[in-house]
Amino acid sequence: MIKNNLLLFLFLLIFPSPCFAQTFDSDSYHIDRGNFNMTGGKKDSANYQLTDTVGQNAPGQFDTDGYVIKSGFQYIYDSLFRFSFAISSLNINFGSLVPNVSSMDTNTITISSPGISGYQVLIQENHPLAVNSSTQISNTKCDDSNCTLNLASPWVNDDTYGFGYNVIGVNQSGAVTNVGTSNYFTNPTYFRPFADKSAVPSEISAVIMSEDQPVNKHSARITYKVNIPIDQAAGNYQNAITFIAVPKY
Amino acid sequence: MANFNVSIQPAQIEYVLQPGRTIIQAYQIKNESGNPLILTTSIEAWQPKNTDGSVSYDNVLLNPNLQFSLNNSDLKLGESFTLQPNSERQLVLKIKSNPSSAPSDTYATFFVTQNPGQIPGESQSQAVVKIGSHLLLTTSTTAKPELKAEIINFKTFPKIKDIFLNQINFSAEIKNPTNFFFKTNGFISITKNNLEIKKIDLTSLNVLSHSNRQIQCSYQTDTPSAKSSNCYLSPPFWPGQYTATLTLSNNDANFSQSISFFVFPYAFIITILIVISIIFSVFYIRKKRP
Repeated sequence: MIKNNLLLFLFLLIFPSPCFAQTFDSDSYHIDRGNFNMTGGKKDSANYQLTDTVGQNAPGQFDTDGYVIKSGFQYIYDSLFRFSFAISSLNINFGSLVPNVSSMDTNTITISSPGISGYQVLIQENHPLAVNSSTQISNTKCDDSNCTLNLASPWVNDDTYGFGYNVIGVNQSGAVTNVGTSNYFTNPTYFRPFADKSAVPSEISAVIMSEDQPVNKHSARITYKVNIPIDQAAGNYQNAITFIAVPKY
Repeated sequence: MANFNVSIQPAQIEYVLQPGRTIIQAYQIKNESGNPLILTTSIEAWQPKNTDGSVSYDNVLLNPNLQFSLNNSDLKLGESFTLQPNSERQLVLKIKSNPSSAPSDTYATFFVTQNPGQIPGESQSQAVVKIGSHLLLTTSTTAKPELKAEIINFKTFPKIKDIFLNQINFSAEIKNPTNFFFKTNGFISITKNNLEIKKIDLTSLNVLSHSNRQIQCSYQTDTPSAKSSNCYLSPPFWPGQYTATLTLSNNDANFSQSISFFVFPYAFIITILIVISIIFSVFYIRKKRP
């Protein structure tokens, strides 16, 4: 046995096998790779979709009891989806404002976040709804005058004035689930004023939706509400609302 | 009606770079809406907020020792470009650190922002949308900066632990007093009578410099990926004293803390007592009858 091992050792010493690996050098990097991938990814045509990996050692799917290994760049599409954010409508239109009659409009946001920590969506207005710098509609304080940038409270009375919003999680059919929004809005009657970037000091963007898990296409409906008193000056009141969608780190 | 539907990949990058070095990161931006979008790019610094991975952009200055630019031949950082419906564009971000950079972390977001269009007449708001991908950058002369972690508020709840009725939850915060972020790699080991009865893996989360992070645990599900949630142990349990040890392992450094808790058959005993009381009451009432 020892004699055989010694012969094998001598054989390998005299006839070494070359190692076909890849080495890359630059001024900033030195990379050693076990193999050189020539191509890989997703390709499609009118009738076909193809995912492939070319050049990698041992690509493919390997199964055994308790384990499945998918080796190769093409399998990355099985498990990863992109961080994406969508808004159904960029224009929030209140039409002609009538005193003591609430005007409302809605849109839907949808988010997908592959990261293990989840995501957050923040919101901020550039300034209150305004015709000019001196003619504005104040942000709402809600019925009990207690709602703040981060604390929602009910707004149902027609003699409560201002501009505010509600965010409520919905499913694909539009039914209320409150997923992602339950920490911020109890139900669709709860509203908050917008964080005002033009305020002195500037008000910080507020979180309107968040989760601590990877999610795929979770949606929320945003209701924008404005109600004006009888002495509100006439005009077209406008502003811009910024949505910020980022992963949690 | 105009809408917005954009994806960005990757969602987050984490790099260690030496002072004076440059790194390149490619991003894939896809317009999945039905209308063309005019987009711009920007870099904004942030700091951690709370212990759940949230960020805050309020009054945070970008590290002046890092220079950000786009390596695209036809586009600079901050310039607008149009992305047609259902089309994709690669943006190549170049990050260069000054040779004199002090070892530290920088946290920023690479934003793609949709520019608002004209607002026609009538009262209305216009949505402006920013979608971002985080950059967690460590400037260091070594690939593995020295780590230091503190485990704080490691506890169980509820206070009354029954053998059948409720699961036992574990919570803890990991404090990072250093200038470099690390991950919560580790596990919670639950032992009884010096025998391990359960080992729960921690979810690998980032704990940023000079901040705290709440732990989460990974549990295998029927799907290929594990699910991350609050750390818990499901009933039933044998009555007695248990010990839970939280262990963090990073770059050959280990940090651990142990707590003890007691599980008692409260519900079972209370049920027995109620049954005995009812039996005695019935006997007492019958005895009292003439």
